[in-house]
Order: sequence, then C-alpha cells, then structure tokens
Amino acid sequence: MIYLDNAATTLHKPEQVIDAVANAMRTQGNASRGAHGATLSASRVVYDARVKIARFFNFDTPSNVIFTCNSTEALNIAINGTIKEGYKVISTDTEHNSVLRPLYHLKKTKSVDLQFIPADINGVLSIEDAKKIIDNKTKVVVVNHISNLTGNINDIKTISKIAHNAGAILIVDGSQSAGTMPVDVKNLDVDIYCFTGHKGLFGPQGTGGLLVKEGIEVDAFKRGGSGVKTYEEDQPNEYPTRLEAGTLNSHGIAGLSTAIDFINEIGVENIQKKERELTEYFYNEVIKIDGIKVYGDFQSHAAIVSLNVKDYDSGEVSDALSNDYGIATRPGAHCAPRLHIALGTKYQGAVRFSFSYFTTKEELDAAVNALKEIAS
Amino acid sequence: MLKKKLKLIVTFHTSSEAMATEKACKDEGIIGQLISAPRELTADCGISYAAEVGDKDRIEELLNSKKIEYDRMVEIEV
Repeated sequence: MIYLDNAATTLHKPEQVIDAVANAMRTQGNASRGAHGATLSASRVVYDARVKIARFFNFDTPSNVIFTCNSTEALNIAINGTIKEGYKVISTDTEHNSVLRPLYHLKKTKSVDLQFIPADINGVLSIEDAKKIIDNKTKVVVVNHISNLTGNINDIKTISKIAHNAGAILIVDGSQSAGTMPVDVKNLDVDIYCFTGHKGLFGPQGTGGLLVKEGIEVDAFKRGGSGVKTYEEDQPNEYPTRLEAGTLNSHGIAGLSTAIDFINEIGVENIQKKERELTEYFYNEVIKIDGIKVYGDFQSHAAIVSLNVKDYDSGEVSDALSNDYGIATRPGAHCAPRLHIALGTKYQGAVRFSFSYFTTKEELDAAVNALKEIAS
Repeated sequence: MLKKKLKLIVTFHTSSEAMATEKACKDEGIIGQLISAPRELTADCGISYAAEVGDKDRIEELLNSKKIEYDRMVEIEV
C-alpha cells in the first residue's frame, strides 16, 4: 500500500517508538502511585516526556505540559475550561470539528457570542476581517495552525497580536503543525497550544496534550485519582494534576517521548523541508493534469494537497485509488464543514493526499499516474 | 522491625514536582531518593524526596534556582 493519509495519522512509525511502547508495557507501573520501582519508572518516563515536549515547543514550564489522549480532548479541555457564560469568542472557517463542535455546544448552553474569521475561496483567512471582529469584548480566540483540509498555514503570530491587543487569550489547534514544522509557542505568543501525538510527531495513537502558559487558568474537566492530596474533596489545583485525573497512558507517552527523540535527531526543520519538497513536486505534477482542481494557497503550506477530479464524487475517486492502485487517501468532508463551504466543495468533498517524512518520490509518481488515468 | 534515621524530607503538591526534584538533585550529584510521603507530614498518598540532612541548604538553593515548587522541607526520622 502507498499510504498518503498522514494528516489522519502517520502509519509509518519509527521502530524505536514501537520498541519503547513494548518496553514500557513490560516495565512501567502506574505513574504517580507510590514509590516502588515500577511506578517510579513510569513517573520518570512521564516527567522526561514533559521536559522534552516543553523544550521541543520552546515552552518554559514542563509541569504545564498536560497529557491527553489526542488533540480533540486537549481542545475540549482548553475550550470548555476557559470559556464562561456569555463570552464573546472568535474562531475561523478553517477549523476542524474538534474546535467547532465544542464551540457550537457552548453557543447553545452558555449563550456564547460565537463569530468566525472568514476564509476566502482559497481557504485563506482575512487578517483585515480578524482585526474587525476581534474587539475588546472578545475573551477567547481559537485558531487552527494548519488546515487539515487545504494544508494552509494560518498566520498565528499576527492573530496572536490582534487577540492580545484586544485582551483575549489565544488557543491554537496544533494537530497538523506539531512535528511537521518548527513551533515556538513563546515566539508565537500562544496561551494554549493543543497537539496530538500520532500525526506529525510519529507517536502512538492515544497520546497528545496541551501546553498551558503560566497564569492561564483552565478549569478541571474531570476529577478523580491523582496520587496526591487524597483527602482534598476537589481535584488538586496545581498543573498538571488539575487536568490529569486517572491513570495516564504512560505506555503511549513512552512512545511519544522516543518519537520526539527521533524528530530531534533528524531536525524538525529537515522534516519540514523534505515534506515541502514532496508537496511542491506533487502539486506541480497534478496541476498539469486536465480536469483536476487543487484547493488552497500554496504560498504558505504544509504537506497536504486536496483536489477533485472533474465532477467525480471524491469518495469514488478515493475508492478507485485504493482498490485499483493501492493508494490510501482521504475523501469527503474531513471534519471541516465551514472550510468546505468556503471552498465550494460541500457537495463534492475533496480527495486529500497528505505526506510524511517517510513518503517517497516514487510513491508520488504512482499517485500522479493513477490520477492521470482516472482523469482521462 | 523498620529502622529509622534522621532525614531531610521534601514534600510536593504534584508528582511532577517530585520528579523534577529527583532529576535536578541527581544532575547536581546530590544523593537522595523518592519515598512514600511520611504520614507525620501528610496523610496524602503522594511521594516525597528523602536526602541527607546536611544537604538542606544545597537542595533549597537548587530548587529555588530551578523554580521547582515544593510544599515543605522538614527533618524527621524515617
């Protein structure tokens, strides 16, 4: 199989990541539960992972690295933990349902004044519109770093300035950016950065987290065992315990920690460079094919190319790629309803090709040839 | 019978702080170990860091310099 669905999850994981998970399952007890060797082994792995993740994103406070099972959970924690009754909240047309659905729910249940920065026909956000709708009544801004549909990279630094000038906090969905490009949360001035472990970071599914800047208050969303302050009735207030009730996925976190070592060995800049070269090569080949329409702005772009062939149903094209050519892609709506509406692809959907560091030029040639045949 | 010895015990609000302390002390060559938090100090079931009494000033300075928060630093027999 030629796997070109890396924006959904990276299938090709480094062998050392798989080994680390297996080793953790053989040796690690329950982190933060007592002082015997097995629990301390798990606690050390989890703590080391917090330190590595903090360093990886140029984040100052390892104890404010909160582990979750994915970015959807991280975003739900961030959104529900900061937005109160009647808040004005700004998001964008480029968001995934992991942001949209929690926000729509708060609009209904907490009378949130929810507004969106619009995307144009290429999926690009208007900074001028952002300046207009983010005002001093705005409390929270939630923005996608990279669109999972077009691969466009949003200008987080500029939006951060606009949000902070208005007195709002900024939550960033880093699902597609973590591991695929250098992310410096200090330089971007992000208040909460949410990430998943199983996409660009090459970690196991069931890992992810959020980085909560010092001073930012996120309410606890679940309460339970913490291994500390047992006789307190409420969840302990200190991070990370405030947001981490219950047994952590320390086996998965061991894999994620090793995955970050792998990325650091290669250099995230080199990963981005290789993925960009692959993306540009594929883009330049497919735009030559009659009947193919590509979506997005390729000036500032990640390793995602979404397209349609003539007026064919995107699901039929993806199925043909899979069944006839052994190429895995993702059709349909990609959990990004507002952006599909902005692109004019609500009815047709789109076929998404997404690449990773392990994708080869030969695999892209096979995909281009398949598209040529389907479009002929 | 369990033998007791006077130790410096550092207690914490979170396990993350305890792990940070263990690492910081190890990096500085300070000898100590994580133990179950003594009941004289807390009824919680957390972990604490036990070290030699003579290292108190060093540990205090180290934790302050690395901004590692702790709850209490006490000398007791454990």
